[in-house]
Amino acid sequence: MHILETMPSRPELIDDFVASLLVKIDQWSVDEHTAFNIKLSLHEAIINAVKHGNQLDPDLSVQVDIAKQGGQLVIQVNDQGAGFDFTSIPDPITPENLEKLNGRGLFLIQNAMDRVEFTDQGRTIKMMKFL
Amino acid sequence: MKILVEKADEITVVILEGELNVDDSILLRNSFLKVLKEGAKEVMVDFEKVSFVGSAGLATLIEMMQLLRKAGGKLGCCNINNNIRGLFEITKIHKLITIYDNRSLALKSF
Repeated sequence: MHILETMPSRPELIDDFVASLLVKIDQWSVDEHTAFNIKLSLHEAIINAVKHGNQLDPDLSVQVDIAKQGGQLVIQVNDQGAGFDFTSIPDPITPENLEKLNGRGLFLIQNAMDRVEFTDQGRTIKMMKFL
Repeated sequence: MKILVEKADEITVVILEGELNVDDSILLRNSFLKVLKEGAKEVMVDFEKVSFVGSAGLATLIEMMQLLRKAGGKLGCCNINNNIRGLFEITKIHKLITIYDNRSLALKSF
């Protein structure tokens, strides 16, 4: 089973889009804690793609590809932006960053998933979670 | 998300119901700015009926804490489920905002 969905870069659509993806993921009988982490990671990756990747341009889209491969869920979120340097992301839990209002999304993903990779110059994030 | 604001002596209790995601964080921020404008100094957010918080929700809570601190007040949170408490801990937000197990303990200790 493979899920492939696309949405325009409109922030007001993110919550409903994620909810629709979770309904489809639910077929794989994911436990409650894992489901929370998957939901969190999808939310954060799509927010990043819409806001930072596609710069809120509604003509650009975000594609989400979800597949179960063996015992793990593989989620890829792709934007159409300019990419970014994923090797120099500030650590949000250092004292100087702790009170900043932005910069936690990727950190949350890295803690919620078992493995995270970037490809296509940062336009695609690949997130893996053992079920 | 539903947001209910109650007063318990000098403490303003903000009771949330639903998910604190992108859109709902804006709703919470607007409700909070309203209670701040009305003079609230001590604000307790009750998470008993909240099932999800994302980075937008965490950012809103940090902003609330900062605005209250600037006004000489403080922010606390209570009744947080284990998944959400985990987010507070890995992001170290629990070092900025005091977390109480339940509302009655929160109101006694705040």
